[in-house]
Amino acid sequence: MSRLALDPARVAAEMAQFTGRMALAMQQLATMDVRPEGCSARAEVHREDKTVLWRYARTAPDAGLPPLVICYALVNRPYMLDLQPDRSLIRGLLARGLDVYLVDWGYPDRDDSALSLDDYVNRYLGACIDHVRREHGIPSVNLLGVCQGGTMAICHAALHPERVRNLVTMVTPVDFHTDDNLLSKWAQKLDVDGIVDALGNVPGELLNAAFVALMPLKLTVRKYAGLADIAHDRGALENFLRMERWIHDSPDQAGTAFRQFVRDFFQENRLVRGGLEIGGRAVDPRRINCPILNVFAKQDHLVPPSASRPLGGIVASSDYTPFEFDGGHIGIYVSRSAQELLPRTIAQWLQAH
Amino acid sequence: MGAPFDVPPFMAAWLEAQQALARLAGTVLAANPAESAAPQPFAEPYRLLFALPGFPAAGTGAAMPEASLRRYQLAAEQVGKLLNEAAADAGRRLGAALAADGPDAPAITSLQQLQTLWIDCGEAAWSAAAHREEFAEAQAELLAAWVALRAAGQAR
Repeated sequence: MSRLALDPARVAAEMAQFTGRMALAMQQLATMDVRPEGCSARAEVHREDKTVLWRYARTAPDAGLPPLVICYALVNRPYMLDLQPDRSLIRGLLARGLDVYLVDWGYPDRDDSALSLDDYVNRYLGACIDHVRREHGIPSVNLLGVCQGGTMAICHAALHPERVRNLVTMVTPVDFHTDDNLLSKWAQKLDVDGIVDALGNVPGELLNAAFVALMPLKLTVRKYAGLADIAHDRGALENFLRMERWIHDSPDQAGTAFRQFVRDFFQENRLVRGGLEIGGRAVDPRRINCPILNVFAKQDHLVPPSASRPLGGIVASSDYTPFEFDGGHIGIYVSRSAQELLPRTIAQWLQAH
Repeated sequence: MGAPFDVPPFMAAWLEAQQALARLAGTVLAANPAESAAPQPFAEPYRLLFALPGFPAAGTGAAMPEASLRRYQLAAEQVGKLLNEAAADAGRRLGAALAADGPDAPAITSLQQLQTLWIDCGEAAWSAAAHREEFAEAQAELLAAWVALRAAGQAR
């Protein structure tokens, strides 16, 4: 017996309603402008080449903590952390009295194809951290790395442990060879030398296409068909458009750094297996002995929890706190439940350290 | 004021979503799963969506070295074969889900319910296929062949 109890007349009516709602949604979207990058007041305090260090304006009494430097991924843009007033990890941190800095890598172009992980992890991130240390007259900062930026933050902390007082990682890949990591399975087979030799920089569109291909029906048909449900809700449509804009705002990847990251992390898993070198220096996570808060997302399809959890086992830190968030890779920043929970968890943890 | 990125690709995605829904409705209404022993018709709406991201044109065929073109064709053929298998698997899963009964299989009375099931079955089939080593190898070879084709075209 079939479960199907579709009435053709009802299906026709549903299709007509769906079409009408989609048309309305498209009309509304065409009148919207969600261009500003982020919503919180900030000032540029340091720049080197295309890398900019932003400092956010305080919105609450000083909590008395060392400044927090956020290191975002090279993939996608960091304004995901400050997408709109009611969806902003940065606002949540500011509201708890933190002094927040953000490292913004910009948009690499052809002139940047030779930039390496040494440039990003040591030179640019190092210069940003040094700026903050100098400005505040402190030996070390609190460092928060996001996704790939978390991996880079781990590397920085391993190479320069004296600069990092506390390390927070969010949805950060550590072990790249776990069974449920589909992106890694694909990346392990890539001829990354051939790609970078031919293209120079790796187009952001190519990475985006790979991300969508991880769940092609949910991330295309389901997402776009869902517009019909919010056609009459201008606020929800603006949220949708902001998210779409962020998803499609994908910087190209500097070829040399991309090659190194794919080979050393995705293909050879050197952070876990050992043998990782950046700038000619061994990156040994056992040199990290500062307190660590490792935040990962239970339903993360890009960086599964199994890829993040091993961090505690590869560092020397005795003060290691894993925190599992009940959500996905993007929901950890923009879901309603994250808005209160994540900033509170991070701020309280920092306060205790 | 205006949309911050090109509207046409966005519209195309939406149109794809809408057309997929219409195709799904047409297919399912035309094929009665209760009477269908081999629900192959259900694979068709998946075939049109299970496609690797389109790579930008690498150049005109006439300007391309034959070996590079051949490599690309073979790679595309292999990926296409795997995608077709995934679509067939998705169709089988959908057919089985539609034919199921019992408390865990409530009646489907709306297109939206059908679409949800269709997507869940499709994602399950895709995930099973995409995690296979053979898939990763075929996909990597397609990308490598495209890159080589592009490089050969530029060298000319």
